[in-house]
Amino acid sequence: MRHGLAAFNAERSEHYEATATLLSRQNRELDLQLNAFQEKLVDFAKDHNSELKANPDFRVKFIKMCSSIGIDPICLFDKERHLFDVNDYFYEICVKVIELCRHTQDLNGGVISFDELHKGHFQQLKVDMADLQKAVEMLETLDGGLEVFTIKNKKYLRSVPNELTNDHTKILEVCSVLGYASVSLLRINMDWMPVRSDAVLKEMVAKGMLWVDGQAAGETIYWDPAWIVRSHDD
Amino acid sequence: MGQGSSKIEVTKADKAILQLKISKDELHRYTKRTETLIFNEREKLKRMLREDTKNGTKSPRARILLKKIHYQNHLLEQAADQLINLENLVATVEFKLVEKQFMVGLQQGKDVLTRLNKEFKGAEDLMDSVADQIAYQEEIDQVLSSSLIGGFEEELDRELQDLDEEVNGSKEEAPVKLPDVPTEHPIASPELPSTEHLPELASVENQPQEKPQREAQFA
Amino acid sequence: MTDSLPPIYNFPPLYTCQPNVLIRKQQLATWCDLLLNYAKDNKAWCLNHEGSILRDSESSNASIFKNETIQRVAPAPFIDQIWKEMVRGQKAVKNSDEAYFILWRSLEQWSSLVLQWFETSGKLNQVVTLYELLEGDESLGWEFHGMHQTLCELCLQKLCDRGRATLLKEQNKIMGVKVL
Repeated sequence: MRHGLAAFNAERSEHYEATATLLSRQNRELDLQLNAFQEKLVDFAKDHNSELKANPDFRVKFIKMCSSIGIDPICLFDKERHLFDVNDYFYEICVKVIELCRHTQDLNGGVISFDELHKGHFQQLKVDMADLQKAVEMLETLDGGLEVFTIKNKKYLRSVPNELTNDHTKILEVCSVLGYASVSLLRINMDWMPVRSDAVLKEMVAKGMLWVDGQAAGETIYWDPAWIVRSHDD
Repeated sequence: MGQGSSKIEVTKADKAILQLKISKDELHRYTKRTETLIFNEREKLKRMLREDTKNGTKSPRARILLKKIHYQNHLLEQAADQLINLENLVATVEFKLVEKQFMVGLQQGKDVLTRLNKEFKGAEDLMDSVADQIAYQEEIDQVLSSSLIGGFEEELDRELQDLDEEVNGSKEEAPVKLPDVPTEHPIASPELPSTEHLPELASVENQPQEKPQREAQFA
Repeated sequence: MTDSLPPIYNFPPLYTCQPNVLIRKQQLATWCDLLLNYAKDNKAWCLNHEGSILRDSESSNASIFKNETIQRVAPAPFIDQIWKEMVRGQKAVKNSDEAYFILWRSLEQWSSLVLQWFETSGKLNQVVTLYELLEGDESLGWEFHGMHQTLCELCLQKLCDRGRATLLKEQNKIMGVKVL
C-alpha cells in the first residue's frame, strides 16, 4: 500500500502507460484512415479529371488539400491521361526540384547533377528525365537564380545565387572524371599555376562546393560530393 | 517524485527468490559454456579424423577427446537437471507466494465477515422487538377501525339505503311490500284525516309551478 | 562489417575535418548516422573511443573510423568531435572513459520495450534477474536480448523514475529487478 504523495505517483505512471497505449492506438487508426482517404482522393482525382482541368479554382483547392494531408501532388498526375493540366504536372516537378536543391545545399554547395536529381528522387515518383529537364527549363525562364550548365555532356543545376566562374566550371569538369581535383591535376590538365588552382579550390571549399581530403598521397585533394551518388551507381 | 517513498516494496521472499535465480543463472551460464565447449571439441575431433583418415580412429588422442566430450556431456546433463530443479523450486516458491497472498485474502475476508456478524448479534432482540411493535401496531389498527368505523358502518349503510329509497323510490320493493288486497269489506271505514287544510296545501304547491311558466312566456 | 553502410562511407574527404562550418555540420551528422547504422547492423551495444566494437570486454581490431577500402582514417581530434556530437544528440551514452553505448533506440524506447516484455511474458511483480532478462531463453527474439548490462541498468533506471520498477542489489551490484 502506498500513502500520501506516493500513491499519486503510482497512479500517475499508470496514467502515463494508459495514455501512451491509447495514443499509439489512435495513431494507428488515424494512419489507416488517412491512407484510405488518400486512396479515395486519388480515385476522385481520376474520376473528376475533366472538371479539375476545366476549373482552375477547384484545381488549386484540390491540390492544396492533397498536399496538406501528405499526398505528393505528383502522384496524382497521370501523364498519358493528362490528369489536370499538363502544365500543373511540370509546376509540381519545379517545386520539388527547388525543394531538393535547398535540401542538399549544405552537402554539395548548391551544385547538383541532373543524374543525382533523377536517380535520387524523381525515379521513384515515375518522373522521367525528359520531364525533369523540361521542368528545369521552365524554372530557368523565371530567372530565379537557377542555372543549368554542362560539364562533359552532363547537365548540372546550380541553385546558389553566386555566379559560377569559368574556373569553377573547369574544376567541376575535372572532378567529373575522377571525382576529385588537385593542384597537380590542374597543372597537368589545364596548365594552371599552383597559386591559381589553390585559390580557386579554396574558394570553392569555402562555398561548400568541394570537400577537402587531407589524407591522399602527396597532396591535398578536393572532392566533388556528386561522387557519392555516382560511385553508388557503379 | 521518484524518491524513496515511491519505491516498490522488496520483501524477504523477493530477496530469497533473487538468490535462487542468481544460482539458476550461474547454472544457465555453465550449460551454455559447456555446450559451446562440446561443440568445439566435436569439431576438433572431426577435423582430426578428416586429417588422418587411416588410423585416426586408433589414435589415442582421438579417444581421449571423445572421452572428454562424453564426460562434458554427462556434466551438461547433470547441470540441465539441476537447472530444471532450480526452476521448479523458483516456480514453487512463486506459487507459494501466491498461495500466501490467497491465505491473507481469505483471512481478511474472514475477519470482515466476523466483524460484520458481530454487528448482527443484537439481531434477535431486534427482530423480537420489531415483531412486538408490529403486533402492537395491528392491535392499534383493530381498535381504531372497530371504534370508529366498525359500529358505525352498518348504520351508515342503512342510512344510505334509506336515502336511496327516498330519492329513487323503492320501485322494486313496492310491489313486494304491498299489502294484500283486502278480500273482505272493511268493517269500519278508516278514520280519514280532516280535509279542512287541503286546499291550503294545494295552493302552496301550485304557486311555484306557475311562476316559471309565466317567466317562460315573457322570455 | 561495414558493407551495409551507405556509399558516403567510402567518400574519402569524410575522414578529414572539413574547414567549411556548414559542411562540417553535415559531415558530423553523417558520421552520427553511420555510427548508429554500424552499431545496429552489427548488434553492437558498445563501441570504444577508437570506434571498435566491444564484446565481453574484448575489442576487435576493426574500427568504423578506419576505412581499409579507401585507405582513410579519421584523425583522433576529429573522432573526439564526432563523439561529442553523438553524446550531445543523445545518440550515445558514455560508459567508462573509453567506451560509449550507441543508442540506435533512445533509452526511453528501450525501457518501454523492456516493460512490454514484462507485461507480455507475465513477469510483473516478480523478481527477475538481469541475466534472465538479457540472456535468458524467455527474451530470445526480443531486440534487447543480449544488451549490455550497464546499458540495461540505465533503461531500468528510467522505469524506476516512472515508479514502475525497483532494482534489487546483491553485494552492491544490481542483480535483479521487480517491475510492477
